[in-house]
Amino acid sequence: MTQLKRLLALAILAASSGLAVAGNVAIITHPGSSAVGITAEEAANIYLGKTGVFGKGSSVKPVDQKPGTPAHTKFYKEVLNKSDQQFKAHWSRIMFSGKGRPPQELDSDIAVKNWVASNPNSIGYVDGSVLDNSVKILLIIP
Amino acid sequence: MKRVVSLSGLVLAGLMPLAAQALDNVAINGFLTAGATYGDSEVPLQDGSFGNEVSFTTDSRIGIQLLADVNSNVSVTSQLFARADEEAYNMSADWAFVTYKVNDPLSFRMGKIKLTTFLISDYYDVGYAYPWIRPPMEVYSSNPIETISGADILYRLNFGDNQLLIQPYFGDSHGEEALQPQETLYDHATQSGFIQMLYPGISPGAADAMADSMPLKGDINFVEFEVHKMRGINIALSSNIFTVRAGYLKTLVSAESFGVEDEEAEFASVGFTVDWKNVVIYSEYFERDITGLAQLAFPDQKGSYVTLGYRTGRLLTHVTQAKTEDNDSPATATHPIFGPLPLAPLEQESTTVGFRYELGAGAAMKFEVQNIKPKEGTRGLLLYNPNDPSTNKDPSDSINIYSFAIDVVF
Repeated sequence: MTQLKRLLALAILAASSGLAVAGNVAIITHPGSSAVGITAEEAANIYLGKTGVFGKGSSVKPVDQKPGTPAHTKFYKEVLNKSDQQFKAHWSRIMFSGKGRPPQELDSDIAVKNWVASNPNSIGYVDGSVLDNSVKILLIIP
Repeated sequence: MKRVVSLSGLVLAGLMPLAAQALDNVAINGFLTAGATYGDSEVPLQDGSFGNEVSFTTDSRIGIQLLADVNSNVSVTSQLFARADEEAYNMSADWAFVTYKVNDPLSFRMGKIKLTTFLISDYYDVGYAYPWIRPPMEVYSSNPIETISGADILYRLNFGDNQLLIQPYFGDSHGEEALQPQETLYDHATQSGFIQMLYPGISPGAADAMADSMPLKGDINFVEFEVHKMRGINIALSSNIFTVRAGYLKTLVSAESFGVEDEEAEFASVGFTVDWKNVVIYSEYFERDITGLAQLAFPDQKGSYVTLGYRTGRLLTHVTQAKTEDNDSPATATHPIFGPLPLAPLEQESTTVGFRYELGAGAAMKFEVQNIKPKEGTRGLLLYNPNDPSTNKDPSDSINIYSFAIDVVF
């Protein structure tokens, strides 16, 4: 069974590896996750603090990239539909009313990939060029 | 000796990951507003702010928030807060509570929590989080209670990108202070007369001296009050574009210095906000209903505002029309000693034109011009009627306030 799952994951990775190129943004999770995919709306809900769970009710910890990276720009524009200022204002409303805290910010694609690879229940987004089999791909934004 | 050193080294090595873990579980954030205001009239607001000179203390404030995750279900939040001008506002805003997250949709909070009566009352002090320099006073000054000691339930239900929040709350509030309305303050001669009525046989000189030591008309005086058995609910539906909310609360109010004991008060409010493409809209409405003598300090009021804004790049230009008025108050309230005393609802309208310019993520610069017009013959939310030649050298039917502020979150 475990082997079957691993094979399945590899197949998904192989199928999507054609899209795993620079300029594409991949939403990724820990390889141990049971999730097989995510919609842009689900991802936006997690990054905007509307939900703390993903898939079959397991809690999820999102990690963000610092403003300025190409993946950050694309993710905010196409998945979150928010500018950096709108995102900051949105989270300051939640944070200063004591209802949650924004995702942790890391410096680069590599840092996000490494963090996601070593934290179960995590979710992140990276540029397609850094993808490898240390993480599981949930969605590719071409 | 060597052993001791290596032992402590071991202990240190053992503690290192713990320390890193602890830091990861604690978030420290803050907000700051630095502002300058100028009023073009001798008449200040009823809380004494906005005089006829440039003030750097009216809007300036700082807050530091600490959030610590105790474990995956329990967290502690606290906020330390200071205003540059404690005199004018005199609201205690520091809060601290424990959150117990039962599951994703359901959390309990207990401690000193924010009282959510309006769209932005949760983050009233965080200027960065809203378009104006200060939220419309015709609505936001109607509830003098910012926090309660008690508990609330946060039930958040998601469907698609919409979220429904149901938040019932319960609690008390002690040591709150509210502005004493000018209508309940008397000039020196009247006050002295009341004292002679209250203490038959007192000499006029002694009555005068006593009156001198009391707050008189034109003074800015805060009275302490308490609320008990507050119970209310806040319901909000929000998407990525809009939020609609409604709230209702009931409480008992006591103010010893007014002889008010456990009078019932009701407060209802509705509002919505839209942030769609380049358009920003905020609008809210409230009604306040209070029984008995407490009406002297809190007359029955209703009020509303509408803000329309348009974003062009980093600049948001907005216009606000706001008003507060009588909500069918009776003409008098009967004081046990002084008999029937007249009630004076506060009625005014204001128009504000404002600009907010984003200075990168986390900082904004704002400028506003506000024209405040009390209803003819009344003082509105000002200290006295600006059109009364006996109190104002330069009578006018309205006053203007110019404000500049920089808001930062960090």
